[in-house]
Amino acid sequence: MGRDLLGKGLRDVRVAVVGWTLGLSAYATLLLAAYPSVRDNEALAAYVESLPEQMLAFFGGADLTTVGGYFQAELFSYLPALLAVFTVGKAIASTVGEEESGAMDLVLAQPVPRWQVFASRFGSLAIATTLIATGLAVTLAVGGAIVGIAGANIVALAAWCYLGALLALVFGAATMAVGALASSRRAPLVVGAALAAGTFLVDGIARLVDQLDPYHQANPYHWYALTNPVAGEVSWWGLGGLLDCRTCFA
Amino acid sequence: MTSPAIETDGLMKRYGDAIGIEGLDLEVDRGEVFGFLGPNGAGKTTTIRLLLDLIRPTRGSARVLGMDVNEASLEVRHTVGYLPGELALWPDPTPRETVRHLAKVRGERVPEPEIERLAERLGVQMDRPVGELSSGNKQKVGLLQAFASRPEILILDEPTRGLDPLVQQEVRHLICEAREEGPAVFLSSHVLHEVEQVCDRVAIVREGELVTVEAVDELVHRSVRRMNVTFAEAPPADLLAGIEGAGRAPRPGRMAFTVEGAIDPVLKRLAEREVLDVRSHEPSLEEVFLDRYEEDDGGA
Repeated sequence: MGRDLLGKGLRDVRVAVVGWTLGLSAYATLLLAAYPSVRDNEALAAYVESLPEQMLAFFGGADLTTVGGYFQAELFSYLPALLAVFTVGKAIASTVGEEESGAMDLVLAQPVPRWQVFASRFGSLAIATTLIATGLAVTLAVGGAIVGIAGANIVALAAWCYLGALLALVFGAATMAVGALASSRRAPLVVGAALAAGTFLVDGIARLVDQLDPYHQANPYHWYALTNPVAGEVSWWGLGGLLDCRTCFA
Repeated sequence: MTSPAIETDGLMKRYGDAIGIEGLDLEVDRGEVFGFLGPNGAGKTTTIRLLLDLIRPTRGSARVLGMDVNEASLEVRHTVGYLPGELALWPDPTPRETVRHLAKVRGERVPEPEIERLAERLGVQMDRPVGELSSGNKQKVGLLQAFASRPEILILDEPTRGLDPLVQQEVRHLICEAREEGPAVFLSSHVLHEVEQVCDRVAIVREGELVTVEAVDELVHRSVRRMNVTFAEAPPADLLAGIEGAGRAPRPGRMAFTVEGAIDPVLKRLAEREVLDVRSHEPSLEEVFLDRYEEDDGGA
């Protein structure tokens, strides 16, 4: 039963998964094509160095001339928010969206526990998001090899894709939890959008305002940003927080 | 003792201050087709959703085949085939894929010949995406999935909505066949002549409250019948005076009146005169339904 629900959930998102994978891969290809010229651009490096410290801090203090800094600034800072458009949208569609259309009635009238219906929906969302992240990782790996990025960095970039997907799934899981309880799209949409945009903004502001530090530690985006695979920085605490958070909402 | 197919005990559902259904006491026997009648907003769909544990009651309880619908929710849903009133299907799969998917979710393997047989009888286009089908054809898919698993209880909410007369007739045949095979059928409908044709008993609900539960034959038989009598000579205006239930509307040489209940005293009184013609018109369920509603309004 659960496998059939999972399969149905995956069939429902297959077109979106292909579209998102192609879109993100095209964007990554553009970034990869531009990377050699950015890396060798001394004027750009000098310009970045001349920027105010606060502005650099807001954007994570990335050095655009390095692999890690370039992809952090141009892709991975925004990847969770981008993927959240997918996870939040699908989480709403598969819960309150089906409830509103009436299609959920036919499923819930079958002899299958509610938890299994929603677990299957989340399972298919998780698999779909992981597939998109895999598509992006493969593009970065192949393209990275072509433009001469070192092997270790390529592996790190690929790992970063899954990290972004994990944070987007936290947002999707929270949205799905609210969507399962709500009677209209408004509440889950507000929660999902507020989490995706809010955690990013709060993280940026908290880098500049020391008083926000205690709250900063509770921000899932901060947990995500603690790990920088290219720089070899891994926060097990942050990763654990993301996994716990996702599991809790799911 | 065998438990009834469906039983509700003081079943109540409120949405804030609004009443969904109020203290509903029903008993549907095994092997009967039970009609559930009422206008929009009377509480029919609320009752059906309560029976399927899609919503929880504010008070009271419901049992299907003796099982509490909340406590044994999965077991109950395993016995029920359901057609929602506001049927919504996924647009991308074909009817074949939809029926197979729902059967798998039920944990059942419906034999392919059985699906084909039903699909042919209902005229379902099995291999076009559901989103491309007309509303009537989608309704056929809904019926197909409800009947396909041969459930012990069928709960059908407006089963012939949007169907052409030929398919409506086929659906009535399917319902009658289901009764012969044993399952109880709980049928909510606005189409009263359809209810009259297939149901053994009906319940009429109004604004969440039960107005009556009666056998269809009895309900129709005991209700107001219209009579037209032609006399050789004009009868006196008070010809039927003193006969309980007989209304009057005399005209020269003819009388058109209504009789509620026993007709024998009326016939005996008429026989005192030279009668040229008597026509009696038994009311349809629709007329009975409207009469009951008018009575209820008058009494309110």
